[in-house]
Amino acid sequence: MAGFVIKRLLQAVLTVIGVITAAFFLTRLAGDPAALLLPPEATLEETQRLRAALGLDQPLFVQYLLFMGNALKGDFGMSLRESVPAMSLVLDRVPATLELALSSFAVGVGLAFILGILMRMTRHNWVRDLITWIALARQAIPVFSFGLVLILIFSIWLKWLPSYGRGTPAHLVLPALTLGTYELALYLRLFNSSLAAEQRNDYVRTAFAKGQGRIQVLLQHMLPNALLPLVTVAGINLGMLLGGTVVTETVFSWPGAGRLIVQSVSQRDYPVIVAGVFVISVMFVIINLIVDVLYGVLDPRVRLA
Amino acid sequence: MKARFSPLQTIAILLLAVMAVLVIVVPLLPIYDPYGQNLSDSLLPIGGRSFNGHFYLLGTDTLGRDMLSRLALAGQVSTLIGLSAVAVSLVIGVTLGLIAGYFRGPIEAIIMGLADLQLSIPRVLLLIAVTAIVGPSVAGLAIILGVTSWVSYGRVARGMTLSLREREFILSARVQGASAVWNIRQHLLPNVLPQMLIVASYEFGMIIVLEASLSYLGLGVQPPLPSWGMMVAEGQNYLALAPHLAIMPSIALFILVIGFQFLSQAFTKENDLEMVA
Amino acid sequence: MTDAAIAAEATPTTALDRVPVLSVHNLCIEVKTPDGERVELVRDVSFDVNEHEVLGLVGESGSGKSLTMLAVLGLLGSGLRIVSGSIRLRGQEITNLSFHEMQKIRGKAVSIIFQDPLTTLNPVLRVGKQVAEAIRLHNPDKGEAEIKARVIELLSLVGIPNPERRYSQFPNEFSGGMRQRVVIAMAMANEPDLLIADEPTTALDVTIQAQVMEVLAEVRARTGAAMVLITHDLGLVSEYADRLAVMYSGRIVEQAPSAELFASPRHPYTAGLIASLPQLERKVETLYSIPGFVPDPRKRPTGCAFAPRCAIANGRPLCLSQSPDLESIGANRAVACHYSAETAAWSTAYQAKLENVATETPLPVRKQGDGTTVLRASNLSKVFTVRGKGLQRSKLYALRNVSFDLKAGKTLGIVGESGSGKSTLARVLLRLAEAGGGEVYLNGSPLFSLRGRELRQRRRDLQVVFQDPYSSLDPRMKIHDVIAEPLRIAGSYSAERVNQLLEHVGLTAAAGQRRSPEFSGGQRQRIAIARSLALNPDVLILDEAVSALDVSIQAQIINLLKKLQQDLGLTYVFISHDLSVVRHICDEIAVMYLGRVIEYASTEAVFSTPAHPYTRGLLAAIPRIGMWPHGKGLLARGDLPNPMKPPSGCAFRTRCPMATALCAENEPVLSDHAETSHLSACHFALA
Repeated sequence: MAGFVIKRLLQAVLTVIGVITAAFFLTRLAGDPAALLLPPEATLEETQRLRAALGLDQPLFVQYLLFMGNALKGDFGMSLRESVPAMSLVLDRVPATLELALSSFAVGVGLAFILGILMRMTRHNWVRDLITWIALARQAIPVFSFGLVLILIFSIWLKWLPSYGRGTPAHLVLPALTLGTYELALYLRLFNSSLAAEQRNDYVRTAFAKGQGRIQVLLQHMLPNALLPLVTVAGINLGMLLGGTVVTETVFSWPGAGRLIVQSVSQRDYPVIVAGVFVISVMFVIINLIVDVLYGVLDPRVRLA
Repeated sequence: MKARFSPLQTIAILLLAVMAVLVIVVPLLPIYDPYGQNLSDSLLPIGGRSFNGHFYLLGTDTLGRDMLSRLALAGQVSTLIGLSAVAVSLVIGVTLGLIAGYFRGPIEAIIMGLADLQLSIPRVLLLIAVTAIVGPSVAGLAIILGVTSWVSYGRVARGMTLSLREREFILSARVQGASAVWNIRQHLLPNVLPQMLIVASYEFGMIIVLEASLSYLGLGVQPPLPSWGMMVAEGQNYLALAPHLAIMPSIALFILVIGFQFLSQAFTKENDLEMVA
Repeated sequence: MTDAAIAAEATPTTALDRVPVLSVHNLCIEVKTPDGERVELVRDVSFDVNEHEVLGLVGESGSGKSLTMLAVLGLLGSGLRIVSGSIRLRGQEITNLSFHEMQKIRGKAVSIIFQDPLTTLNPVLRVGKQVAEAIRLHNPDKGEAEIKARVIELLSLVGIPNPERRYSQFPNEFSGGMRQRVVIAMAMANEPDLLIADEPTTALDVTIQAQVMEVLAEVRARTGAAMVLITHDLGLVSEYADRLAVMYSGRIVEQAPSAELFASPRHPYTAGLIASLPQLERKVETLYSIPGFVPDPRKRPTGCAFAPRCAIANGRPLCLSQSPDLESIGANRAVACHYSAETAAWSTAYQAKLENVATETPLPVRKQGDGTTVLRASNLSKVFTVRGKGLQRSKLYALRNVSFDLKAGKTLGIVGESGSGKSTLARVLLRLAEAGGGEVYLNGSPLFSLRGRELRQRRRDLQVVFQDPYSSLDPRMKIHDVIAEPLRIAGSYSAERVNQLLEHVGLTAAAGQRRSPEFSGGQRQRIAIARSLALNPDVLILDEAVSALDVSIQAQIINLLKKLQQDLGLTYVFISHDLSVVRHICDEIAVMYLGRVIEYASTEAVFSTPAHPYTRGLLAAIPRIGMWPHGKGLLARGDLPNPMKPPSGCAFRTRCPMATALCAENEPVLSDHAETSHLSACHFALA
């Protein structure tokens, strides 16, 4: 088990290094950072002095190491628009993004779990079909469209819930619902197909042969096995979810890191963009790591391997 | 006698037919005018008629442009970007997946490491970062979306190759003196491709949504060219006043995406293959 | 009519004063296919199981034997249903019970052991809990401590060492044999009246099979449970069943006490099955093979389902028009055949013919039997590095100094259980895996140094037929193209050659236009053989090539292989776990254990005077017709040791009945002890 965790940690570190590398090349693609930092009327001498200060006169590999060193310290330079470090701007916004992402995750997995069990237990075919169709239809609606429809219904027409901003739990309802239901169809399909796959296993027949009832077999035997793929895929899809926060935050003017990144793009504030992408990727790597370890705890086949 | 199409396939075909009418037939009609502004006709509702008797089937936007025409043009743009991106990612993904799965070893480690790395940066963020730096254009979007979408194909292709290469018909061919090229061309590609097309029909919907999301954020297709995502963003400011501005492009997106989703599901069932998530 | 009267009438074997434990009458089960078609899978099946009795339910795949017993548990899958008939447990009708009512019977009065111990236990639950569950369900008033004590008692009863520690382990910490013991403990938890064992040892190695059957017999003796043993293995039922019911295409075709059935089968199918089974005791030149294959239940012939394959039906109108009923013939026996009286004569005639062949005809001279060595392996070794916990790496010695020398036209049998390294040997010989050391000489020239084009040219002389007929053919390709592939790779394609190859293996040219999913397992194996012969190889490696086939089909393929060897002068390496088949087809045998050859000699020598205790254990473990009880003292003990940590000295010593301190110190070398060319690796080979 310890070996497994160490292995996953190493992988996570490698991934972070990969992300930093990608970020380095992206910033270099954006053009000469010195030119971006200085006003257009700056002299050649001023530019060169700044280049030397930033280490841009060094060979590319040295620049890369410098960049890596700075990135590991969380230093992505100053924001070009506000005179604060890009990283601190991003970190200020992280709690809001995490709040949104985690509550959306809970909504998605929770709904999938409840609806999945319901679909398995119900004797009515129409209930199963209805749930499947609604989930499928939801998946075909982009986050921003669904968000606007919710705003239209619950904020503009019914005036039940606020349509933008963050603060009270009421503010969280629409964004979390918007983002959380997006992956529902995927989770449901997965959960159902793994339950169906478990059903074909001999241990299910054996449990029935011992004299267990349908519900007991479902809860005690099939569920622990069928939850594993759900947890894994939901974990992998957290990336999708964190990506989705960018759009959701824009729709609901949610003051998170995603919205900051989008605003920085239109302001061409590259240090903030790179810092933002870096932070969200690292968050994703960490969450994935947790999910994997959780998987190991749940599955003795991994734990004891 | 079995029915020729399952219900799911029938619905998929009907939905996609509606899209085809919008994208192919509407531009041929005399009313087609996606750019013509008419400020006095702005924000007309669905089925609205202007003072001079001009009829707008789906109303007009803030600048008085015909919504139906703009939806059609935006549909053409989206479809074009989607198809080229799918083609790009399919080729990259299948190639890398087959190579990784057949040759194993360090090549596989590098390719799959790349895939893991790419998956660890949320796709929307990656796209935002890249477009922020490269700058948005239709061709650029198609390439960027394509290059960043190869992972699904790559993983499925590799997974299938891994199991196929241990299958005894491929071992037999190797024993008979078949080269890697022979095995890939004769056995792997034909067995992997049908599954890839299923992935592609699913991914097409995803790419359409991604493109729309970027355009919604103002980072995708740029005006004056319309895009469904951009139209929704424009409509958001008039949500209370003229909800159809945001709703109509949303419905168009919905029809296109769900059409392809059903298509991919219908084929999945037809071939009785499990989609690899 | 009373229950007893019904029972008495339908199966006259039952004494009137005894209520059978299980009584099945006129049971019909059908399935609804996705196209809405209804197909009868079990047809009019009747039998009784008496107190303390073991009934063997025998049949090939698809005969309906497992379905029948699942119906007894009320666990038929979706789409399947009982159309008519009755199932009585101790006189109580259970076909009309609800799923819920059946819950009280399942696991209490009746329990079942499934085939594959890998999937029968839930991988994420502790083993002890899974056994405890079986107790708790039917004894709700028992306390936790009481239940746990009972579980531990059960585990030790089925021979699991350290039951207290094993209680809280997960299934993946158990070997296959140990898992099956757990399953037995679970099934016996409430001392049921009836135990159903559905191919309980088919997934296990033969030495483990003997141990598991032993345990099963012990726990049954303790509780007095009756048992239905479902199997395809005639040897197994012959040893362990009191009475047999033979099923074919959904019907019982013959019922008889075990010994009588094997001594004088009355149904031509039973007689054919017994004749087509390769046996340890004798070697015949050609096995009897039942022609054709089991019909698809949707396309059963009218009349007797066996008629098209039957040796005595001969197209007689009665067989083709009317399905025979299962009729009583004397006490304790019943048979479903219009001409059952003729079976005995057919059997005698066939036996006589065999004995003639065996005694009078000398072995035909083979074309290339000139004694030149075609394939020589010298000191082959192969080490796998296996990832253990975390970053640990351990070495698995899959092959250690394997050498052999194979003469043209001969067949070398490589025998071993799982983990012996025999499959690795096949892959190394074929260069599908690189050897760690040693060399293979094909027609005198080394094979391992070849690369690229040269290798692709030369390896054509050494071809292979694999075990699984389903994954050996590309499902998308027409059969013609499958067989043409090697020719196309070599650039020597001609349609005539393909048709000729099809003919060689008994298929028509027309078959070439169809795709593999349309063919049965036996036919696919013929196709795979045709493909391997396309480039005129000298040596064919047959890697468990007949192991996946039903007995009647297996005999067909074995006969085909023997015929091809004579006609084409082929040399075979025949890899198998099945000693009976090996005896039948091989000239020489190499027995492998944990990557080493531990005995290497002529077939006759290995079977008549086995030198290594492992070989003796293997031979003793094989169930055979009419030979109970076998030499129990010879059986290998315990489980295969962890191949990553093999025992010091002789690898077999931990399971060997003869092991001494010497065995732990020195590893015996493979050498001839008394007679020449009978090699064995044992310190006590002469004992």
